[in-house]
Amino acid sequence: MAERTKIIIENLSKKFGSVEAISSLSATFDACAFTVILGPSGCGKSTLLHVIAGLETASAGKIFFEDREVQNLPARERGCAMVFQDYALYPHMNVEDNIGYALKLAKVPKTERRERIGRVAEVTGLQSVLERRPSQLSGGQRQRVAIARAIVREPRVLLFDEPFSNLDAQLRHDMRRELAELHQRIGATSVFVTHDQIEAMTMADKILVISNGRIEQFGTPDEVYHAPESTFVAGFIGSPPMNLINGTGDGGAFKLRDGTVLSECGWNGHVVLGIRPESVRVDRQGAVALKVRYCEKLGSHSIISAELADGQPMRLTTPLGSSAEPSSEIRVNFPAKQLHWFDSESGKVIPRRSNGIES
Amino acid sequence: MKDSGMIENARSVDRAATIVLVAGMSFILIPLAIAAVTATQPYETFIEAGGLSFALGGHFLDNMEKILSETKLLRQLGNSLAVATIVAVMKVGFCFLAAYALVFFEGKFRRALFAVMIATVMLPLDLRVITTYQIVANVAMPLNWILDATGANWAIEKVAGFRPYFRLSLLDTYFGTAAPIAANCTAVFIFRQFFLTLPKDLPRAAIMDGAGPIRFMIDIVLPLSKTPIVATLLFFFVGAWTNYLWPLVAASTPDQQTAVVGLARIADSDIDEIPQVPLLMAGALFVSFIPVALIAVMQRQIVRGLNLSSR
Repeated sequence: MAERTKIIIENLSKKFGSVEAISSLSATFDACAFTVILGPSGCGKSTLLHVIAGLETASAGKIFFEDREVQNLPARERGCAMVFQDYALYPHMNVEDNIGYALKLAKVPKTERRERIGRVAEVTGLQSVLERRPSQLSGGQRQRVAIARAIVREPRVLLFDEPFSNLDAQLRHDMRRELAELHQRIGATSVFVTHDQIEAMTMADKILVISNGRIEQFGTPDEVYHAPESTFVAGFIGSPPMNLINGTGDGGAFKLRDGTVLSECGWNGHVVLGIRPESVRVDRQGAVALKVRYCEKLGSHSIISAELADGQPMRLTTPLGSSAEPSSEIRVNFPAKQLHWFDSESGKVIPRRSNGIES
Repeated sequence: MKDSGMIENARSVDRAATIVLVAGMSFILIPLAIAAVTATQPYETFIEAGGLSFALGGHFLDNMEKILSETKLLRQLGNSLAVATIVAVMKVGFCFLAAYALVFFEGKFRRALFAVMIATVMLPLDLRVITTYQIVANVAMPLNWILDATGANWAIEKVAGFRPYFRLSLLDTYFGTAAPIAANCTAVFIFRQFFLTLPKDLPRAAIMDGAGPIRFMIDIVLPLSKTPIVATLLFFFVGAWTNYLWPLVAASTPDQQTAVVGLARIADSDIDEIPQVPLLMAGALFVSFIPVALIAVMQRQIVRGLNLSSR
């Protein structure tokens, strides 16, 4: 078991020239937890990981590993290990030497080295390929070598930089499960960067959603999915993501531009209504009319793309078997308890308590 | 139908390619054949024929024997070997280090440095031969110049009563012949291009494993660069071997001259005499034996190395 190390980030900023990749970010990653940093490409998530690792220097702010301030330490003194997107294995070394290179540099005696390599090879299922070169391995095996190379040093902190994005869907699924199990066994504080929300939802203890170098939300997968704090999070997580409908709260009703009433609303002025596609109920007597654009049948369920009365697009998922013809009209209900309200200016969630209907 | 058409098409392309290749090969090989045939002729046949002819003579071994006994080509072959080796090793060593610095380190002057290197490629040694000679004739010249310019010499003269003048000539040495040829950064491009094909996370992975820049270079980059290193070494070895103008200037005694310079000396005999062309050709074969053999043995490495890829 690795030492318990929590990561505390305080007002961290990183600038590249005049471009601010991370702006004044603060967060605490719990010891032994699996934290996923999720965001679209170019949001600063990899930069954040590199700053934690010591591959990039912070422009301002502090990073603590437990109570040790590390932002000015060189990478090798921080006790992190990292798994990279393109594996970054040493092509001229065999698997055993790849895994053992860090130990060799740390002057670990040869017998101990072999023993530790043997142990991680067993954990990662690589015993039979220790003599092979990386070029003789499959993508999944290469990624396992990269993981073995990271954990062989028993690091305090394990960092993953989009490690599965070069793998095919099936392998990615298997590796997710393997990594989750591995994390249970070794228990090092892990930080995993990805743009894949499924990876985030399935593996994370907590998800840090960032965009443009700022935190959008930091919470458990459940919180991030069921209680998004901003339109960004709502529109980023879920497949298909949450519907975000612009309208006006007026006298207790939420109205579209053309005056159609969608639901009750305890808020006056411009607001954004959010509803998950799976929360929309198809109902012959439903209050809202939708015009169907097209219908994707996925077997287990169908995804209907439709248009509201004022032309705003929205999507809903329907249970097994039910579908709809293009350009037909369907009627739906928006269950009041499943609605999310967002400020149309800031995109931030309007807390439920201030919503007249809920209280 | 379509398939057979394509096959026929491919055949005619094949035929055209063969013709072009044969034409190109003869253009290159016929002069070599003439040289080889001439090397077998005695001097008399050459005089009687009134020039080059395709008659094979039986005097190849005689000519070779003369090369070994009457000329200094054997010793000069040793000189060439030493000079070309020094040139190749220096060039590859410096260019490897320079490219390593350019690719794996961030610095404000990276672009400027690279531009300066490009500029030196544009200024070949043949253009700088006089200045280069002055410096090699006295490598302390820049030091003297600095001492003069800064007034240090003036001060020393005041205090000690004499004016220091440093002198160290590298003419007629292997190093003096090799160093100016080696001061060239063509291979920086080759290594830079090669390093850029390495995975971008490779240096990061090495840092995370605890390797410093020198460890990373020795343990990772150097073994991965084996093919381009071997290729450029051979390339520069052959280049230095055939270099003529600078070695001619840098070494004035036959004992220190390179084989190519010595070979040219066989040609300029007495003004009234017709040059010993068969001997010259035998000498040419003798001198080019080592580089030709090297290329023949290592041609696959050269091609692979100049492919500029890590895979």
